[in-house]
Amino acid sequence: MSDSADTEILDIADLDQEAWQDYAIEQGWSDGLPLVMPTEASVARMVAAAHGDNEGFAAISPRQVVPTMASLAANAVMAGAKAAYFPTILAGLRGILDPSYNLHGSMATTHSCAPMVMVNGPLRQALDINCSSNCFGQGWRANASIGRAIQLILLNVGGGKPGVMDRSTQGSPAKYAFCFGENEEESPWLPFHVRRGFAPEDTVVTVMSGEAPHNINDHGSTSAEGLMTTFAHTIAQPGANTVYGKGPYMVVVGPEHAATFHRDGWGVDKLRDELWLRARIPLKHISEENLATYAATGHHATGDFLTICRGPEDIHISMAGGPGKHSAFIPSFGGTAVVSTRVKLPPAGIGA
Amino acid sequence: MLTTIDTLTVYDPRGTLRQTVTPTAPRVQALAGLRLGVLDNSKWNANKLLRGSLASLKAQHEFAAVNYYVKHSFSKDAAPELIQQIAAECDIVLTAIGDCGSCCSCCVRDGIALEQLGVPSAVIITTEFLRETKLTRAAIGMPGLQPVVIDHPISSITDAEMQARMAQVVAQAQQVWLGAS
Repeated sequence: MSDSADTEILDIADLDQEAWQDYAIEQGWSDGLPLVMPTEASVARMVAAAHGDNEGFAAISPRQVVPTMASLAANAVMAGAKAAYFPTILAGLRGILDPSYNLHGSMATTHSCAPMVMVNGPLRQALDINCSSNCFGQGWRANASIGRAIQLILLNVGGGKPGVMDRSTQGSPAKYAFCFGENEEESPWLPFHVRRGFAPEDTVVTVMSGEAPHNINDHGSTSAEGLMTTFAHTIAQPGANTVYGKGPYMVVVGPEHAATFHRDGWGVDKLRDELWLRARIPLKHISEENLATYAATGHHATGDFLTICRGPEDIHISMAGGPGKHSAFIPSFGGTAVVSTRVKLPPAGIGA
Repeated sequence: MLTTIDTLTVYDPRGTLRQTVTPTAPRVQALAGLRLGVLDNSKWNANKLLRGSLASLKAQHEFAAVNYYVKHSFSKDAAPELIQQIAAECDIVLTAIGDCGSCCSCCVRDGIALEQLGVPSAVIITTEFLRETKLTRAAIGMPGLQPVVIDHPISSITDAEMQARMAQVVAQAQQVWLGAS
């Protein structure tokens, strides 16, 4: 294709900062924000940090380009990432390239999905990944640049250009960067990655093609039962892609809500089982036209409700955030999976 | 105040592309006597579009068989087993509908998978997704795949508009299978 590079190295003229930004944006390499220049030295530092993770990568959709480590590193540099973040970025990318994630579908879709990236394990603290107050928001270099690096890789190596091969009708702010850590330290439950079979000392990156977080506000309920009423009815909505009932979703419980659930004896399994039973969409909230289509495709009503996933195993529970009475629901694209990948570090430690 | 950067060499962040090109399956000489497969991706109105188009095609040609298949997730590729089954049971295929991003990408990939197994496949997409179709077929390595391009949209149209879309399908699908320009 015409927009691939003939060589990995470009000799550019004497560009000052402003001219570099103009050049890079004109090339289509940016998400709209300024980019750090991917010089030979900065790319080399990034590549050196990936020495613990030297397996090849599958081709990246939609362009089907098999990436070199240097091309991935160049995007990480441009995103503003430190070299120490690079193994975490690569683990996230490996999850995204797992066939069950359905990268080409989630890139091409008119849906607003973005790669949700959640980090577990000790590197969260070493890299200062925000897991607490404002964890989905701005202000932390690691969250911002790890999420952004993955997006830039999908844009530049994958070729998911907005409006061309990324056909999202409206997009989402989550498409700039969507990375957070689980607040393991304040969680009453086992860490997400440990529940998935990883060791506590592993750093694990979990990805899902998802919408931006939807807030679940409940200041008034003082019991698990009360909170569940709010959670279930916030989640059971007819306008998220979960309405098709064929994909996963993530619930990120805030620490104060988590403490209430825990005090009342509700663990993760109980939460999933109750959400499976209660977070269902009443048929009166779904148009007749849509119901007819769902029925024709095998998504039948259960009593007076539509289920929004295939079973409790599609419901993923994690804990993040700081003080306050808020939690979040992250509906997935639908035709995707929640994929967890262990970060591979160089033998010496966490890299450059 | 501008800062001059001393370094003049940067990495191109797009990587380099190595690609092989696969031709489409050989076209058929005539439609009579062939086994026609219809792959419905379960998107809104795909069934209505395909059933209506099928009625017109059957009125014009005496197919040996017409086999109807449904995949229940339009935003995923058809399962490899389903593609294998269709290729074993059919000589030509009609599939719809690529009227959004993920379903278009998946329809084109399903069509290419069938073409790779020797089955000429008419992939129905809408005008809004022609550019994406061209980029996808090139990226997958089959730039010669000719889609059936009908007017956008599909999911929210009247019966009269649907009839016009069916006419577009019938005319173009035959050209795709026969290789006529």
